[in-house]
Amino acid sequence: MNRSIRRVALLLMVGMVVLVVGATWHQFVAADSYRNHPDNRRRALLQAGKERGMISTVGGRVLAYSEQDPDSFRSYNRRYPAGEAFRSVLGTEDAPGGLEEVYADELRSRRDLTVSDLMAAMFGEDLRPRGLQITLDADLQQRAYEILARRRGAVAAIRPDTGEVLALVSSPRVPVTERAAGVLYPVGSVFKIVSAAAALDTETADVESLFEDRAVWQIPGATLVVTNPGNVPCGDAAQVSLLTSFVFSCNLAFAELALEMGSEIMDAYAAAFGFETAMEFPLETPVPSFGAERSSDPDLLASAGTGGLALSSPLHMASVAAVVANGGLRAPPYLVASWTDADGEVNERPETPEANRVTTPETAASVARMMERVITEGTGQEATVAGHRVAGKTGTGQDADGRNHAWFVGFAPVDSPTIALAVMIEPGGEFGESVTGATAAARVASELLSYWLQRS
Amino acid sequence: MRLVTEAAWVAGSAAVAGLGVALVDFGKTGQVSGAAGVVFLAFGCCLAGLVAAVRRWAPGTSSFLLWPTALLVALGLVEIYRIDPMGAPIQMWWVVAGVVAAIWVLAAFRLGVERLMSVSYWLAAGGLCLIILPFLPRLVDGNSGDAAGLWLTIGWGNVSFIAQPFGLGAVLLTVGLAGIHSRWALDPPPAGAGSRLVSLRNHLVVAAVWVTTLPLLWATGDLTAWAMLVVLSATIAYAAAGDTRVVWTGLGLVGIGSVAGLTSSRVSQTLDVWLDPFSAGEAGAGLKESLLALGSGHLSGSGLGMGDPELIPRATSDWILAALGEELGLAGTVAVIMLYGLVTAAGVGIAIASRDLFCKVTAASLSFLLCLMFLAGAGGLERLLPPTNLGLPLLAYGGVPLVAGWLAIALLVRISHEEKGHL
Repeated sequence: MNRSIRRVALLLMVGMVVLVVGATWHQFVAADSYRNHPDNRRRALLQAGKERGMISTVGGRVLAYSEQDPDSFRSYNRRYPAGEAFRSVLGTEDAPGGLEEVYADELRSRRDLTVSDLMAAMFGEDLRPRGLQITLDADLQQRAYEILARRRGAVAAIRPDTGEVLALVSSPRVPVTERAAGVLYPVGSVFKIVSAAAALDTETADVESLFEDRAVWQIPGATLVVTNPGNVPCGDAAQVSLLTSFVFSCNLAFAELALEMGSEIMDAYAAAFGFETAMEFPLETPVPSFGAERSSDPDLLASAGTGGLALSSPLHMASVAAVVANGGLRAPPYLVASWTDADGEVNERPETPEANRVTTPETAASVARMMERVITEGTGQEATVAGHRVAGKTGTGQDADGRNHAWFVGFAPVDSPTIALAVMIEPGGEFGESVTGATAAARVASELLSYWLQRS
Repeated sequence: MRLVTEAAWVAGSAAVAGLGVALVDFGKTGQVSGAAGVVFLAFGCCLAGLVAAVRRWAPGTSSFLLWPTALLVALGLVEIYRIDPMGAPIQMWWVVAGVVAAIWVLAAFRLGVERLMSVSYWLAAGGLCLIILPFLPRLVDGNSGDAAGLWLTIGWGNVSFIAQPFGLGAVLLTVGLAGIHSRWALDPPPAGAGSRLVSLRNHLVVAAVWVTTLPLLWATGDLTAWAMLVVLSATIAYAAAGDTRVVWTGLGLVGIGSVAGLTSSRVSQTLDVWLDPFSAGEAGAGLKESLLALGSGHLSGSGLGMGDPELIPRATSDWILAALGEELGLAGTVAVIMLYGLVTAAGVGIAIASRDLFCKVTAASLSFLLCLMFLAGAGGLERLLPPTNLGLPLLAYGGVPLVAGWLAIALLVRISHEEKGHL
């Protein structure tokens, strides 16, 4: 009897040993595959409650910081004291696209309460999270957000000489996606800045060059019929200057110029202004296009010359205006000013990309003069700011559904520009379904520019 | 000397419980609450009461069985406090109830445990009824409500709770079977006519347990818990009669039952979860999260209060070993395995030292029961066996695993006292 009891006991002990082996398998040999398993929610939970670095503006406004959870030791809550105006730029750590998610790793605390942390801390290593300083001007951003509040649209503003992004606002905030840099819209006649700069820079035309003034033009050897807005001639005379065509946004001169310059020149200048080129930017930025890349099809070329095919984001269009404002030099837009240590001391400044020459200073000056005339006597009179010289260009871009997007792109003051901006108003909001550049976008730009110019 | 030993393990176990609760508090909040002191005192008083009762009614026993038991209960209580702070006071009351039940066993059988032998048929039948009967309605209407597997929803009106009568039934069945086989061993069949039939009776008992528990397999799909019962009945018969063939009968019946069980949708669902817990959806969530918890614990664990065992569904009851494994690591898991090993070894030692046949078989059977239940639960967790929600005796949340465990331990204590010649 004792023999059988001993035998069973022996078998049971063998079972216990097997359990130890099994536990060793799960908790040691295969442990990493469980820890890193996609279904294991522990990693996300650990990060969610962890301390993260502060995001602030260069001007010192705190945009995001971590605060210790009063109820849970070791757990932090993320606070956004600057409010809704910055929400689309910051995003959240979980939603893709915003700075919080893009720099999730860089902002992360390295304090995990592990033994190796203790060792590192003993050797004086700072495990606290780093801080991020961005170029946004907190007051301008807030103001732009308030101005856009009842409208559907987006605003981007940059400093023309450096490329610092001053404001990046999309409204309404829902859906949360950032739309001032992250979505392409049809830009319409705003693209004429590029066509005009190309024509002047290559001496294909000058400001006073004359073009035959017609309401409608059937392009020779092509199917396209180019028309002016309203199907009327641009001026009263038989011929119209490039300046007048620009100021009143007439299409025929620009279609003619595009055909005359040809595909190579159009490609080269569009690319120099940042079209068809991926932008290096922390937020997602789709590649803007002008609609006729590497194409000698006269239909496409003529249409692209007037801006009818161009798709771009407000941020990119602000950088187009900045080229003109900056004497033909393009300083690519950037958002990250510096990284700081946990005490707020700057310890790393990302290299800002070199400015590259797009047009000669003379060309830029000529385009700037034409853009100023748009405000003083052309389509952009709504953007006037009393007591200041403003330059700009309006546009109305139609999307595939025929819905109009109103644009204003410009800079101020003309003699020494401190801001270049782009305003895009979508159909809907207080301006209703039908919007044109002359009114909706220009009015927003005027409010924003007068705020900026009066402040500085 | 004896007082020192007793004081040491009582204070040591209470300190493990109190210190564990303090560590949980610190890991969660960075501060220690008064709960640690309450648990230390309550747990210490329970054990001190038990020691007093042991001194009164079973002074011949040694502490070798009691201290691993106390440590297991302490570890379970700490992890339950960690996962479910609201459930911990209830569990503390169940500890009190378990100790009271143990003291009652010591007092009730102060004249000897062989009184149990006279009611062994009733005990076995009662145990089987407790295991099977509550699940019969589920076979008829097919609806298991909120509770699944071995869990039962018991309710009057709008008051309802879930319970697992399986463990208590298993203890009763074990004592009953031990009694039946002891009687037969004391009373060998006469030679001659019918003796062949009589020699089959051990096999018939195993087959009877097999037949009566088959509905459980269909009603719950818990292959492991069901197989454990059949294997248990076979090992009890083998321990009493020394007939190896009974073991083969038991294993054969487990095989037949398993194959037949494949026709049950609940069994095939259990097997689906077993084969691939990561793509078995909601049904496999318990095993999946438990494995992730075990792996995340690694060698030394996250520390008490610093892991995420609340991600495991029913973590305090079905998967408490996974929660312990996450927070105490492989070290903690192996410690629990070794504590169960010690309890088993102590029980088997009591059985081997016993001279009385019924005491010997009962002690062996109860030790086998505790060990088999642990092997089944932990084997299911480690995917060595199909997953089960059999509550680990002494460790898991709930009154039944705790009280049933303490009943078994108290009987072993009493038997170990009698084995020394006291009666």
